[in-house]
Amino acid sequence: MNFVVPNGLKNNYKELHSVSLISDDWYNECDSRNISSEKRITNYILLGVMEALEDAKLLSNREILKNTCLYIGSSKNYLFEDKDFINNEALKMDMQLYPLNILTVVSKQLGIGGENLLLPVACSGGNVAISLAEKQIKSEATDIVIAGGADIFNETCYAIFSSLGILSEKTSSPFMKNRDGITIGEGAGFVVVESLESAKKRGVKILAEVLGSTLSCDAFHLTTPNPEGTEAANAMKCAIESAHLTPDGIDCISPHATGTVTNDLQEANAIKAVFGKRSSDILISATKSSLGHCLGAASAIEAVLATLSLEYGLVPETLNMYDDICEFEFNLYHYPTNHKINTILSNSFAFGGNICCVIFGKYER
Amino acid sequence: MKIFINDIITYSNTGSNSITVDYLRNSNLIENLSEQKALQGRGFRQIPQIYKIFHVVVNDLIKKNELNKCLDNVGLISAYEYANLDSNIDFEYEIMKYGVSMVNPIKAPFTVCNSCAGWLAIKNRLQNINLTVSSGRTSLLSAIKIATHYINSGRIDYCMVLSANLNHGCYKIIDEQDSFMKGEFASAILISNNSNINRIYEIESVTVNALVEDNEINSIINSLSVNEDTSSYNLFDGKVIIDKTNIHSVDEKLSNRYQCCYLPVLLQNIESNIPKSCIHIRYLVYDSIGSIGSLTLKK
Repeated sequence: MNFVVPNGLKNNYKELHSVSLISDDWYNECDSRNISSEKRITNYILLGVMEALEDAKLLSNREILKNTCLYIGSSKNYLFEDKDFINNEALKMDMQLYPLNILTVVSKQLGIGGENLLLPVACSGGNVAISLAEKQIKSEATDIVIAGGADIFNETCYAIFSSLGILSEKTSSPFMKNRDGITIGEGAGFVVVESLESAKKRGVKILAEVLGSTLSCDAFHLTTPNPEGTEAANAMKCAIESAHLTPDGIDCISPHATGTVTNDLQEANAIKAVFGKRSSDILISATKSSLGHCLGAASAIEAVLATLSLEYGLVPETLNMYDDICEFEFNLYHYPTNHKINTILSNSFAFGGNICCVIFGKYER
Repeated sequence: MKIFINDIITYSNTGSNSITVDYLRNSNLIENLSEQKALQGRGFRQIPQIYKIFHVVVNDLIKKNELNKCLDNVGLISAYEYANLDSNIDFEYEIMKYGVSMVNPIKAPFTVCNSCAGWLAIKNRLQNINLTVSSGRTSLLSAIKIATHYINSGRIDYCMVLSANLNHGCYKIIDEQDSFMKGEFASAILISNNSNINRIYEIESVTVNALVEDNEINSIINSLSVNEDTSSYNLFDGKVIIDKTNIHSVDEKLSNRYQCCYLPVLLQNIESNIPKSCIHIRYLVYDSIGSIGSLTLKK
């Protein structure tokens, strides 16, 4: 598996340009915050996918890209900031087609000829894309899938979370006693998931292994997770089983941990149910405290971080815990710590009760 | 592992078009839905129409196939094209009317596509695979493909694949451009590996690809060798005119109307047209946005 870190490899933009059809101005726009949400989301996806392909030595390999699939998880809320669309039927049509057009733009620009899939499953989008990529490769339908997620923060997004009363008034502090909600972020993360045979044949560096994954639903409430965390615990157990491991075989957890009262309660109860006494010892890294909740991109970015953690043995810090105490007696660090880790369990939950757990493991050469 | 299509349920709002009525003779009518029967209890006023229609379709499928005995092993995947557009626009109206801080929180979750599948899971206690796919006209084939992956992996035994197309204000535009016929449609396909219940078709293969090069459609059509292969019956859903003897080029107006859920309509109604010598049914769908999908079924 190869990965891309959002906003990484900036110095290589010009080099990438030589194989793309995009103008210089377009690259300059990528760093600008003053561009519309519909342009931003396109930029995030195109840049993320290009960097992932570049890192996996695929960007200029048109023959392989013809059979490569592209799975993108998102919340699909790229509503036009130009409010004229309310009274303009043609614009309404464009608005709905826009996410699909992004897929078309990306696949045509880069020559990605496999299945293009948009997975509008909101906050668990990235993990769902990686899980489906794993299934697709295991079924031998394809060798390579570019999987990830992208999302943006706009007025509509703010209105959704504000109306539900789950925006933090300070900053997101997952698992803390006085946590009061989420901080929204935006971005994209993409990984190149490839069969072992194909990666070995191409001689590329393998950064991590997707050991197993599962998809589930807690069927409790549209916006509130089941505080008992029963189904979340079942999903974690199922993912661990699919990776042919036991809970003792998990070294670190990358939780969903948004910082809302109910979400963290659900996840904490699920972690306790799965790991028992070990739940107070196992490493937990709640990165939404530093990156914010990037919605459809969140779990994809966390997958990138998980891969980096496995590579460098460094667990990212959980911020905003200085003035508070952890409600659930978890092993959280407010600074990056060195640990030898071989397996990471990544959780993600979404509106509608969607749950997706993916297990990443260090590739033993 | 062999995967089967066990059941197909369709609901349609036929409107007044006689061609459509004839074509949908096997569909249930949305007009005949008893609202009291389908949607009991309070709190349904704000629920989008697509949720309500899917609720009825899923209920029918569960009852007809006695799935309530094994709900733990049932997955649900919905395939959309435009279905949550109204919810998004409705939410934007709220923002414009009351400001970002004063919108109705009940409407917030409906802006997320997957909320519909989640809501159906809550209503029917479906605690397994729950997913939404939105990739244009090939969405349904992608959903079927995902369902087969999860059945093959042993995670589920049954999967309900839903698709829908509802009326939106924006269809006026398509109407002018493409002679679009108004109407509403919802369907559910039950897929499983269970050979002991009703088997309509066996799924042989599903593929979906992006159209990177313009000539790819013709190359796929040519590769079918349809003139020699009399055991296959081919259905082509798209705007390309095909002049081959055993390819059924579907009615473009109907195809545009049903968008990604045209396959269930075809499967329910095409049986009488297929020669007895044909064992395989091959369905090709082309999306002008840039993808092509094919599904091969065995009778």
